[in-house]
Amino acid sequence: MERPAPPLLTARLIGAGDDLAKAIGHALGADGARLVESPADEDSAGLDILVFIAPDTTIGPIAKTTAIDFSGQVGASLRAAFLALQTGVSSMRAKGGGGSVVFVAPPAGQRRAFDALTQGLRLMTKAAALELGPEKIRVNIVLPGSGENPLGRPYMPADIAAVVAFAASGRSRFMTGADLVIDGGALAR
Amino acid sequence: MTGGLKDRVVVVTGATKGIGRETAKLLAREGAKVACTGRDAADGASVVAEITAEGGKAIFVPHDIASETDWRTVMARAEAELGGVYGVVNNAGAFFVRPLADTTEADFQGIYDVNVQGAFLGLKLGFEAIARAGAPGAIVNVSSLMGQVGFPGAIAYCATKGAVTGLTKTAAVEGAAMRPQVRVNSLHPGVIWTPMITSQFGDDPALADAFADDTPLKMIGLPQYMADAILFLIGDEAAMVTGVELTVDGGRGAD
Repeated sequence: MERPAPPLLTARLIGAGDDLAKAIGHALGADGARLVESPADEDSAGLDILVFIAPDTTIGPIAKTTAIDFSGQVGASLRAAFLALQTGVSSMRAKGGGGSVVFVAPPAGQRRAFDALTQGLRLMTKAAALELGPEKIRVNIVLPGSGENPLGRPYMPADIAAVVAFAASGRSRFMTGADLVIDGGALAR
Repeated sequence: MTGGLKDRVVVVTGATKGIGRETAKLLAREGAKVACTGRDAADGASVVAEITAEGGKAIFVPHDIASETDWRTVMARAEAELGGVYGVVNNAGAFFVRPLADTTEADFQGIYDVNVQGAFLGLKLGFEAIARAGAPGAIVNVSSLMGQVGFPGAIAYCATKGAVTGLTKTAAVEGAAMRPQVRVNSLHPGVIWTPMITSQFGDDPALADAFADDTPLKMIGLPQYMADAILFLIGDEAAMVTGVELTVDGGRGAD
């Protein structure tokens, strides 16, 4: 049974350049989204999808972390995520509301004892989901693991991108404020 | 996106109504051959007829999910009539609203038998069937938002759905060590407008509106939204996803 072709969606991807960003761009495209390079391109169509990929940090143990490291990495990334959200939501409203925001946390951020960035992004996701829900703007977070895992499977960018694409798409239309863990079972142990 | 499950055999419990019915139909549209199980033979025949009319392949098998004998019959018929089993959706469940003080031991045992014993048997017999099929497989357990947070008046339901979360994580780690591997995840729906809800609260549309108003997305959950999430978890898009809790609740749990 054929479903009607959905309208082309406009997507903004922040954190471009590396393999994961390329894979996400490809997965969004396969799902019927058109990636835009600059806010100017969005003005006519508005924005449907925003994906923000947080950069990994080199933050280690508390005793070895300087205030400059902390604000330069954790603080700067949270601030960038907030600004991306704020401008993205404004473009979603410009086209009449509704949309999907997906944050992608740094690899294995959930497993590190000291990862204020990942937990900050998680709670920003939940707060934004509650605030923006009535406008049908959904906000979810993808939490990739890294390294050894029970499935014994390497982390392929395409696997993470498939989860991002699901969260971005209408296939998850009732999902907001949710965690999407992709870690081969590492956190289940 | 059609055909992602082409010719893969999936057992869906509680496929006669609600989330299970929509899931069976969606998986069939994606190419799966579906063994629909449940207690109501007339509803079972009608879901099979709907799938067949769309060009899909399905059978109905009567099923009390708390019975190991029934589970063995389900797997034997699925294997004989459809082929080696790829996946199981442990969807069937019981629900009632009753405060702690009024919940009897018999009430508790009854819901445990369906929600916990049923999911346990689905995992155990599912693992065995996937091993016989000789190819990697996947199992989705339908838990609930009430398996993650408390809800007054639903102590027995919350306890049993919390147990499903624990079953899922352990089975995921064991399934990863099996050859072929089995992925196992749990889905945690919020309030979904199904016979399970309306049988307890009534089906007044004003009630649906009240549930929607109480949900951050300001909408009522529908079974097809859960079917989309189950399709995601059981298929290859989630190849690296196992042992996770996927909450699809309109944002209720974010509060």
